[in-house]
Amino acid sequence: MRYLLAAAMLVLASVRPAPAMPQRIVSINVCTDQLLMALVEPERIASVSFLAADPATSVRWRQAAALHLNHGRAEEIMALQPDLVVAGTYAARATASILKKLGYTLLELRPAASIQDIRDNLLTLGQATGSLNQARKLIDVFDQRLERLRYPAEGTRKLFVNYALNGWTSGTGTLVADLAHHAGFDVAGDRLGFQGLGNVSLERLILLSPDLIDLGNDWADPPSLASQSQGHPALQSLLQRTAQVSVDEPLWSCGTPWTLDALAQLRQARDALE
Amino acid sequence: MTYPLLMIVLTVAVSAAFGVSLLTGPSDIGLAELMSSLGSAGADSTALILEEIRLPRAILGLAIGASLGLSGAALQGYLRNPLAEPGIIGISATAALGAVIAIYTGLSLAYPLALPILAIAGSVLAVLVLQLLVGPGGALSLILAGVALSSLAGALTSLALNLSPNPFAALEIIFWMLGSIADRSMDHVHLAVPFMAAGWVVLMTTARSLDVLSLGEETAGGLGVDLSRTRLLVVTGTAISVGAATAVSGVIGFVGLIVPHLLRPLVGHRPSRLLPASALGGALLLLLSDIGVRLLTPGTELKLGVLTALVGAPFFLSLILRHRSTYGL
Amino acid sequence: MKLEAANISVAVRGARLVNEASFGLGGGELVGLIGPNGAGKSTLLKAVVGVGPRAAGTVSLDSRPLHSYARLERARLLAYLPQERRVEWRLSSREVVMLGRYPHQRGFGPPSDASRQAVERALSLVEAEPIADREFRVLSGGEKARVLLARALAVEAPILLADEPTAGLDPYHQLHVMEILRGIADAGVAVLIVLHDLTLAGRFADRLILMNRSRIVDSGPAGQVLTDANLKHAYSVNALRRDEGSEQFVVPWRRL
Repeated sequence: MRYLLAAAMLVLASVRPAPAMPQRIVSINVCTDQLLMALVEPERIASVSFLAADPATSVRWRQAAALHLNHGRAEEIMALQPDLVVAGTYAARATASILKKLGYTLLELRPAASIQDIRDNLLTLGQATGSLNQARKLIDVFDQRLERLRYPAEGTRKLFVNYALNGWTSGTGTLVADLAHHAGFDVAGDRLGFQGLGNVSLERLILLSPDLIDLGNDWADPPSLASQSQGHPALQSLLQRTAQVSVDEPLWSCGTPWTLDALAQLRQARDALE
Repeated sequence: MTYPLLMIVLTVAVSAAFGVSLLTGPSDIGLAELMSSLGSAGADSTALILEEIRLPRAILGLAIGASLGLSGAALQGYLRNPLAEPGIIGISATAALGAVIAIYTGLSLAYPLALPILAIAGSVLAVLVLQLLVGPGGALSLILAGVALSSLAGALTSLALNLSPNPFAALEIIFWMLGSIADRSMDHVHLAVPFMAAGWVVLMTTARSLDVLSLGEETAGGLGVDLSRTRLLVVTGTAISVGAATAVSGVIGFVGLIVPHLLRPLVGHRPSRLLPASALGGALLLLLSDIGVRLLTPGTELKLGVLTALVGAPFFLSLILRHRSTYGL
Repeated sequence: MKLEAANISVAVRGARLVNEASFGLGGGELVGLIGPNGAGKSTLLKAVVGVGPRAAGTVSLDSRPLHSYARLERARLLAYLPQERRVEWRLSSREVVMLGRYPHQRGFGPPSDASRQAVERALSLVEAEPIADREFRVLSGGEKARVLLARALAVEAPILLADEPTAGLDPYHQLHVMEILRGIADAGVAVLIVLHDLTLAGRFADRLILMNRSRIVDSGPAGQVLTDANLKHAYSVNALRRDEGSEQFVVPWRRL
């Protein structure tokens, strides 16, 4: 679910004139938070969003805990007197438009829907923050690791289904699909023909008979119908004969350099299926 | 049509709808596969889908429909009011509130029976409040009290779900308000159906008393009808069956209104005959509606209560129009 | 069968509706319960039947307390025709009359032959066969009254208590109903009816019970109860009295 939210958070990158080396950068989106922390030294980060410090949504939560945290409200951002604001669309949409109107320098990044988007976002943000070299360095390391993890293109693809609560799963054109393809898997969208996120009923899931399932966060405490639906006997029966993987959600809910950790897990699971 | 013939037709129709329900779903499972699969204890996909997904859905459709139809007929007979229906007068909404409390506090995880029991407690509360507020024949006050009760229970349900730290809880308001039996499991069947069946037995025992009650309470009392016992049985039977039904399906409105009304002329207007006929009719309507939501909007299934309300609400309005003079509405 | 009511009192929210009323009723007797509006006649009747507000005092059938009878047994012995004439749902007249057989029927099966015959007898007694298959709710007031009377007669109880069975009826039907009641009394049934029409009461009843202000103030043959003093005291009217053959009749004439 957080994956969904994160995906909706980023919009088209729109670079505006900024000082060559912004010194008071504020990020109000959990995905840009993490990219920023990867690229820029902490002294130049005036604030990141509170979600960046939440282990459920952020890979770099320890690092974020040492920073000033914001809730994406226009007034608190203005009080920080930023020279660059990095944003997405979700929740802070109104904030972003106010800040833009007031003349703040605003950078909006679109959500990574592919591995290539991660590179693009790193470069865009690197350029805007004057950390282009750091960005290029990260991308080099990223690409080398990607090459090591890539499943041979001639191999047969198995089916991976990330089956989140209420039956939400990834279709084509998503970061998860791109990762799965790199790891030697199709996703449900490849087989059923849908883009983005799709809702797949339990019955359809059983008919797909996936080779690998990731149930994601079960949100079991406190309970909800959605979390209880994972106890459905039909699903349990399917799980008994299907391999499971549990990717830490922040790894792929935002496209970051650490997203390759998710790919590594998928690749490992793919090898285990041989 | 004679009464036995009507009952046979309804039974055949319910059985057919039950079969069609088993055959309806995103995957094409033919009749032959259905038959062979139900017999075998295989663990293949078809068997799994039929036994663990479609069978509980069909059973719940049948049982919940029967509960709603039967309790609608019993309430109308007891209150001598053709507009009484568990959904309209707030019994379902308070049952949903009870179920919501059981589920989202985690109580039902520790004690599964807490789910039907709290839902039943909710409906008992509703019937008691209604009895306190509304006298016999008070159609307008019954509906007004029901509206107030429904709104209050709905508001409390929304509040409870909004306050839950679980991000999914708030999304589930729609399930509790509009009802669905998609992807329910045999666990739900085991949890709810015994209660519903007990409710049916209780309601059926009131059949002849309801007949006599059509002559008014004084005459019925003079003829030896135990009025307080009849009231207790109707209240208990409705609360148990509707409470258990709502606990696993959310609020599904109007079934208890439409079904008795359509069948009443066919059974010769006798409340006692209307009871079993309405149970069958309710089962039929709900099975058909549930097949409908699967066929009309495959993939993104419409909530069951949306369909019953789309049919039921205009029906309700036409009933009010027709009874305006009779009940001073 | 003999009905005995002793010291019946009914109080609702502190208001005494019936005060220490005692009377007896025997088989073959047609007794009229008369009195002005609000005297407590209907309340007394309900108290005897055991419907309506809680009552003090004892009612016994053949010297056995009524409450010691099972509910349905009591209903089989004591038929009651209340004033309410509303019937819910579109039942036919015959179905309405058949409901009078409720205390005799058991289980969910179709009515017994005895019940069917009782219903036909009752319908024929009130001459309602032609309207037996019509919907009750569309009948005229007179037809409704007759069908409901047939409903009470279908119980075939040894005791019949009827609350204003002639209310709202035209003279023809008033006389018809009184003749029917007189007939079943003559056949051995104990009949008690609440009446407002003193002329009918005086003509048909063997005995009258006069209630005023929640008490029974007099009882006895019509000639002894419908005295100028009683009429003045209870009703504040005077009356004309005439003899017609062997019968004497009373017509309320002027307010006092």
